[in-house]
Amino acid sequence: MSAGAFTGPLGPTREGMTHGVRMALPLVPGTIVFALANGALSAQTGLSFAETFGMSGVLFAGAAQAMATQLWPRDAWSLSLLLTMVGVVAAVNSRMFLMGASLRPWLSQAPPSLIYPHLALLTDMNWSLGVTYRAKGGNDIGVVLGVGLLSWIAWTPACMAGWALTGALADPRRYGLDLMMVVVFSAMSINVFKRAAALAPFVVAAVVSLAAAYLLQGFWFIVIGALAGAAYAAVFGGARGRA
Amino acid sequence: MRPSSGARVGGPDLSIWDWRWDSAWPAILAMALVTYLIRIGGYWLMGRVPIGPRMGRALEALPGAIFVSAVLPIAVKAGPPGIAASLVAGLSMLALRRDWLAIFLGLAAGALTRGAGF
Repeated sequence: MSAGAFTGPLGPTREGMTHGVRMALPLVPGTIVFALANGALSAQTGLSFAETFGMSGVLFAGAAQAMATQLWPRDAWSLSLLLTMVGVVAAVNSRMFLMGASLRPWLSQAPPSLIYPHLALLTDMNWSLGVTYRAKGGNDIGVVLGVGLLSWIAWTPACMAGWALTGALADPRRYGLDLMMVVVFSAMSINVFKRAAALAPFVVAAVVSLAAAYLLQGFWFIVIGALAGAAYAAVFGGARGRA
Repeated sequence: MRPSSGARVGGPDLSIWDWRWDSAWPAILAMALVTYLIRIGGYWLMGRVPIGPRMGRALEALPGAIFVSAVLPIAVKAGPPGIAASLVAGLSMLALRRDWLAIFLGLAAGALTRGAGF
């Protein structure tokens, strides 16, 4: 946890943001195609242009958007449907709660007035690139902020374009894009694992998340497995000990 | 609000659950607000609890634990395409150290495995 283990300024510097954007560029084409598919689904479900913008640009969470869109009502809205959709979205996005927690020791070195607005852009992309960069000893929070901005700029207009174009890309499965998160996280996790002192907490997370995925409905297995791994590390040690 | 018949006797008045409106915006804004609160919630909470050695170890193990818990069940449930995509992406990253190449090869492995009928 000691600050001495990390090199360079805290930032956010222009260099940090540029570095983050360069790290993220390979992910942009996949993000755009996924966004096009999301926008097309939105149009086919009957969302207006403004509603699609609300989902893509304000809610801004790909998997949760797709789930909520599939629950969209045919005729009128009701409070019970609203609460159902909020619950589904909260479950799908619950991993972000832990992602934010894991960024605390790093980002809290910057003023809250900078961090809280930028957490609106917290996604799988800037979190996974950020923790990878951090695992390699990087210190510039511009990486997280820059990738967050880039992901919004890549995501939202592409969703709107998909809404306008509708059709061709409606089935992301055909392109293997439903596996996007699996692939990105598999690749990004390597640098984190390589620098871990012990793998036991991750074995615990693996076993518990798999069990939860088969025993429980929904997406809670991510949070349950991650918490189990973190709790194991807290009680038995096993994460990297930095002198 | 649906016009009340006024004849409801006994039990709670549940008519609020049938409240109808013709705009999606209350739902969109509620989902966006809840998502923002989740995004800042974990970060905020960690600023309110003392981060001693135990919590420090938990936070340090957390990114890896999130990776494992998000990838493994989804890959296994997706079957051979999911497992192939994850393995190829991870091993490519380990061997080639180029994240863009690992992601490309992982997606290709998933699409090809699925295209082959698995």
